[in-house]
Amino acid sequence: MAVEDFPSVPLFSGDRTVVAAPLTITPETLVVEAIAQMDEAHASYAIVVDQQRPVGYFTERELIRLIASKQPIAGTSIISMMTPEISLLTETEAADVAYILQQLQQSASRLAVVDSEGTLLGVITVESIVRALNAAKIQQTFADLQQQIEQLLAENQALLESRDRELAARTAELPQGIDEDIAERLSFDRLKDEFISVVSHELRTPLTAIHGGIQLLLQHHASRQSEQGQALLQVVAQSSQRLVRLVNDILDIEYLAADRNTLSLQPLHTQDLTRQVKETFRLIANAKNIELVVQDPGLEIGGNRDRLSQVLTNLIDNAVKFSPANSTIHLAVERCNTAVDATTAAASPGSGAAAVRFAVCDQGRGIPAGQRSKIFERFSQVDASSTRQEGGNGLGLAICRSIVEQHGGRIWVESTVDEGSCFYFTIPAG
Amino acid sequence: MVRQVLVIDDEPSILVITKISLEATIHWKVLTTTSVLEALALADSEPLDAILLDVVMPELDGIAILHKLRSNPHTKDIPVIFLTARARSCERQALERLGVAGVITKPFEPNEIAGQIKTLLHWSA
Repeated sequence: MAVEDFPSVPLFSGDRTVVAAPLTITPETLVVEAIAQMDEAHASYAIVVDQQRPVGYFTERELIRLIASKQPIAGTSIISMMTPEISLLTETEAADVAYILQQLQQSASRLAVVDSEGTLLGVITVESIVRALNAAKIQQTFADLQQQIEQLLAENQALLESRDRELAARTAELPQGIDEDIAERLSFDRLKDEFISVVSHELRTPLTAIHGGIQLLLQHHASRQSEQGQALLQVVAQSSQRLVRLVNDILDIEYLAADRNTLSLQPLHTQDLTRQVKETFRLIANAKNIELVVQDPGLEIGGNRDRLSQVLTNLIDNAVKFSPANSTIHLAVERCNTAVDATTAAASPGSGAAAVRFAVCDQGRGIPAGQRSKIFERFSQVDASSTRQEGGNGLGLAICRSIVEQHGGRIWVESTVDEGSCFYFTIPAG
Repeated sequence: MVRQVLVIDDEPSILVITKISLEATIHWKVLTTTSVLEALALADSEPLDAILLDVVMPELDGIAILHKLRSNPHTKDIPVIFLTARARSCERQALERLGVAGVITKPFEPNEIAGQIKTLLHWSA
């Protein structure tokens, strides 16, 4: 290990390089006395100092040599026995590890450290320097470790701060996520609100006519026999009918929507339904001279007779409303193998469960593409004013959809503007 | 004073009731129409003291018609009163904020509507 591996060693700190001499004796000290003091101090050597200045040292080795020489030592003072040369280091030199090691190699492993006056400060021995260096090394290692730890802490801190920033950013996003959820719920509430608004509007309009008309008649602002009176009565009567239909339809649609009210399904023959529809048709369509053509081979389905009649009647009613005079409405019933969730309207043979498809086709003005799914929603009308004039309220198709879906079927429309529309619905075969 | 008012509504039954209510109770002259185009033409050409305007209409709603009336120098100063079945307070407030003379909700009392109009427009007669 090179000296460079050891840092400069502080003179007196930690495990000291410079240690106190274990024993100091004067040159006049008798040898026997010196041996006795060394015994007592458990010292393996003593520094001989003269007026606080180191002048030599006396070691166990010297003692052994002395004993081996059989030289008489009684009355002999130490000055003749001591090793007279002792390497001296100044305080500054004592901080130079390389110099210390060099000196230790050259000397007898003891170095006396003196101040500027030459006064003994202490000694550096091999043991002390090794110990000090080891301590220094440990300290350095510790210092290195400390530096590494601090570096790690700093890196960790940076990492934590980075994560904090990331967390803060994600926390900032969270309220938005929550906001979106709230927005979705508010949107749903808005839909409900909108429904209530629309229902309120649809109820208030005929009520205005009924209430106003009756009041005007009762308060004699118009007499029943006058033209105005007759007009009022007509308005009251039509509005009453409209209100009744509306209330019935709203209750119906709510009833159908309630999960607890499942339709009771029985085996039905399609011709029972279509025969009933033909009868109803005869009563409503004659003013426009519209013809109804029915093609029904007679198939078995599982269904609710009243509700399916309601669907067919609704579709036929719509077809009549929007059909020009002297046109034809077609009602066709056919088997299909379309699965209920088919994305295409055309039947794809061989796929899915067996079903029966009903089609009501008219030669009316058609439905624009953007409206073809919307018309099955509540209060949605392709042309509100004409629908209202015909007595519609925008709930009929929503009711049809509800009924068909409760049967496990599907309803949709295909249409060409200015040519006509076909309303289809499927019912699982019985 | 014989006022002339125009009632715009897509519901023929409402036009009948409103017309008879105003003519029978206060003898105002009442023009009625379900058509937006006819309404704007009448407003432009006829001397009108007020317009009663429905809000929910399929062709163009009452708010859009109001803007059209205001953008025409011949019609912008005709006082407009919304006559609407949208009767919830939040809806009323929203309509009132459009700066119309007032909002009358349906159903209305046929023998009171003239008085309501007079109050809103500060007419003594």
